[in-house]
Amino acid sequence: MGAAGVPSANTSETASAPVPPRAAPILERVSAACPSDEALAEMAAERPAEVAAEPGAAPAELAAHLAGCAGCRARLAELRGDAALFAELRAAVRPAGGTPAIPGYRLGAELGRGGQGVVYRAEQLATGREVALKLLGGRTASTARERRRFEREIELGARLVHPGIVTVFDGGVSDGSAWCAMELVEGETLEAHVSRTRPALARKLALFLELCAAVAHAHRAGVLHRDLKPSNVRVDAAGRVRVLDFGTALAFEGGAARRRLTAPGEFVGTLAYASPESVAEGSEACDARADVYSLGVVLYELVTGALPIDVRGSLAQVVERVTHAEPVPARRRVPGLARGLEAILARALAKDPARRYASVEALARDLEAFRAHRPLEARPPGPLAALALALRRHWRAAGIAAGVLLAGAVLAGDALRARLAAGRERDRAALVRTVFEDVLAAAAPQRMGGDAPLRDVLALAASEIERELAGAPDVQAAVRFTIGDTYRRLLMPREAAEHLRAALARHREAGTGGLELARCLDALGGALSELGSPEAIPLQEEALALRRARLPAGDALVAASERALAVALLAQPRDVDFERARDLLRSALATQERVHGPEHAEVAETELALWRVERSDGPADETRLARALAILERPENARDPRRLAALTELSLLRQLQGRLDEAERLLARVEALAQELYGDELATDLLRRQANLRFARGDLRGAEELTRRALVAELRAWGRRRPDETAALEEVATRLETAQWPARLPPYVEAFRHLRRFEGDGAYELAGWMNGIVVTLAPVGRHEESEALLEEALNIRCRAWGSDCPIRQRTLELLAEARLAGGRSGEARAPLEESIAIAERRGEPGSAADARRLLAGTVEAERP
Amino acid sequence: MSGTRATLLERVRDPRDRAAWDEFFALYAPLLEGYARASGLARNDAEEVRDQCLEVLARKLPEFEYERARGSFQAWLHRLARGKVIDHLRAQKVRKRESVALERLDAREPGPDEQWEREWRAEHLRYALALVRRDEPEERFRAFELLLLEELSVAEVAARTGLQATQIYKLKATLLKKVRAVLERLGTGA
Repeated sequence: MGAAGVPSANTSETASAPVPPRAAPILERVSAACPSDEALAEMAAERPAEVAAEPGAAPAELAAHLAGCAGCRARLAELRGDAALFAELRAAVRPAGGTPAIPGYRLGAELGRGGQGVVYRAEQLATGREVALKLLGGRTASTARERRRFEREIELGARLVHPGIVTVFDGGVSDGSAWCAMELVEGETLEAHVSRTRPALARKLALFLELCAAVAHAHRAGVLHRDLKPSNVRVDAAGRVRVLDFGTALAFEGGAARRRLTAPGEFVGTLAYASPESVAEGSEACDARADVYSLGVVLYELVTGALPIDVRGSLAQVVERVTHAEPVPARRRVPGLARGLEAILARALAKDPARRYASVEALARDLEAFRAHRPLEARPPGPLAALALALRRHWRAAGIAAGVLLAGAVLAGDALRARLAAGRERDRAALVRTVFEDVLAAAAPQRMGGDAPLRDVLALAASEIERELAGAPDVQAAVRFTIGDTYRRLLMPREAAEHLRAALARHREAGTGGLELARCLDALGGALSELGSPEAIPLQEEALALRRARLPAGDALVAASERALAVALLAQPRDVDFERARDLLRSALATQERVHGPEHAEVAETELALWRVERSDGPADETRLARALAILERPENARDPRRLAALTELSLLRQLQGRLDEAERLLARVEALAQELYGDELATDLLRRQANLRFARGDLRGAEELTRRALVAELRAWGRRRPDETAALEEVATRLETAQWPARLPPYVEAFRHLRRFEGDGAYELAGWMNGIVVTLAPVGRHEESEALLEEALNIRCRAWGSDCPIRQRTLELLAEARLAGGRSGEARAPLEESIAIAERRGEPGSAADARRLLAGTVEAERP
Repeated sequence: MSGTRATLLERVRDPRDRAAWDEFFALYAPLLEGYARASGLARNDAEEVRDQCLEVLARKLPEFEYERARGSFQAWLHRLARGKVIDHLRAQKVRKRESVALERLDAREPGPDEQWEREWRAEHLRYALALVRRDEPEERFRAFELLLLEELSVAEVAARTGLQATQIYKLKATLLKKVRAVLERLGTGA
């Protein structure tokens, strides 16, 4: 809109066209008699007194003129319209209808509303600075006594100067309404801040401690808050906590409970933060401990995300609960919450003020103690807890892995210590179990049932101890290592890897180096090797480098690393650096023969590894294997788990050689030995190997049976690793276990789908599972699916096993059969031909003949 | 449509008219938020309601069938906003706190809503004034503001600002005229 168009005085709005010259003088004469715009405006606004000074503007005269002057009447009407609009504008733009004017301040936009009243942005006219001005609603400070009391509170509040407290500048009573002006804090409420940033517990505690500091300061100055709640706590842009509304809570009308009743919509919400004594007796009965209670509720909400008291229901019910019902224990809301924290909360939320912390400072002190693992006022430690605390503080001296066992020994007495010395594998695991059980049982008596499998105990221990040791990565590393190592000894490399990874991460976090780091790297590398993961290699390289740097050249640990690295190299499905592995192993062997003597189990293990290397070059002579076995079969090595490994190796060899009966006998020995050493918790690996053996012999039924057992166990193991899927996996496992043919097929397919998801495509173990599935698919005629799986299995197997093993041969035959059954006899020829070739290479005329017969069959089928 | 300037409401039927949409949002966002606040929602929830409504507006307006009678659009927006507010109040009630506000709102029939009407008019006026302020030299507008907010008489304003009384009267009339023009242009605030 342009500036043009401002009417000049005394011209009518309607005269937009140029006036013919003759009319001008007439118009001038006429309009000279008209009252000025101002006069009319004031009349329109109904303020005739304003214009009485003007000539010809007295109300009577004006009225007379208007009767005769249409122009002026029109103008007046317009001006009246203006006045109406003006009034509307004023109402719209002012903060709120009926807001009193506060002398010295210009009210601006509304910033928020609370139980007490409305807060506006305002300008302090004297200084020009922006403040927050709170109008305490209602005509409630009308008596002189109330006014004085309010002013006193403001005065007190104004004396509080602390970074955590929002400063109050000014306050007063205007027109019966109490108001106060305070520092304008841009920021969000504590609640909003927490839900937006989702901080970790440590940060939440830090924020809370800032809050305590502010409140404690006020208490020292003699000012109670009495209305602490999250909406009164802001977090400013710098992340600092600011507390609002000190001293104004009790501005008028005495008891807080009574005041709150006047705003029923707000009431029930704020009740949750009110101390029992303030609800029951009113604010007069409150002292600093009421604020402690409110702070306790805030902390509870921060930590658990919920209120300690249920605020649903009628007012009376909620009041009853606040004053009498015990709060829901924090650990029930957050399972695994640190006990110390729970104890602090319980103490802060005690119904009886005498049983609470006596001051906000005491509460803050206990929280600091909690963070520093010192004993708490709220929870004096029992003997185990004191021991645990001491271990945490002084673990370097104790060496925590030993420390945990030590704690176990202390608890369990000499008998266990003796068995530990005897070195039986199972007992060591039992001791670890006992220690953890004791630690846990002290903490959670109902949670550990008597017969919980060791895995569960270990898993629980891991999470429990992890939580208790948060903030001490070096200690966590040691504990996790112990757990991971235990899993390794139990032939559970996957679980071992999980914990050892965590241990490694903590070591990195804590900056550990040297031999301790090397030990962790070695253990993790070992577990990963067993899983066939290429990640093992860099880890072993690092371990070896660390050990070489710190130990003399002929040291046994260096040799161990050399071997471990070689094993890792060999465990790769392809692109194996055989040369390097060989060199490393030779070096290791030399050291070990010298250090341990030529008849030692370590030597046997290295010989086994060397044998594998040599075999890769082609059919190897069995010298090394025989030597290894000879060593391991010695009586002093009866309980050595490596005997297990050697026997398994031999059984595999026999299998590859086609000497299946021997292979089976050996596997039976392996199974018996494993049972003796490890009890019932056999790895699924073993079951699968047996299944493969059966399959290679053509015993499909037997193979399927074992596969099924292995698959069920594997599903359940995955269920334990993935708590969110436990139920689903358990369901599939159960169906698989109990269903008969053909109902067994769907759970197989589903199980396989899960495994594929968990393992990742192309993982070596997948081939084994595929076999099992194929075996089940063939009899029920699902040839296409069989075929797809078989092809994949073949690919994987080629990479890992080399091309001439009976399993591969069998797989090829199955593939051919599947294609034949699916009516694609032309495509069945290629796999059959290959199968024949393998059989001939291995010198097995029998299988070759079988395959030829099948081949002839395809030729037949192709004839028109 | 060529020759006469279309109202804002008409212009936003074209989603490509960014200027119109910017203005539209600038007008209705505070209105919706204010209404939500006045209905008893806390600031975060009010902002959510506002955003939800604006989103619906953005989607539906281009095809909005409306007659020139402003009541149609206003009523439609009212129903939309009210519905969202009720949803939020209900969710609040479920979360943890009793809400008297919900009962209040729920009980009322979806008929004429004084709250809404007031807010509607008031927001349009505020918006129009803000636009006028933007285009006006500061000293002139300040004089107007003193009249408006401080309720000073023309003489007092003249004394404070150094302008003549006559000028002030003219100023007031002019600015009011400009406000009216904006309201007409918006097409919904009259």
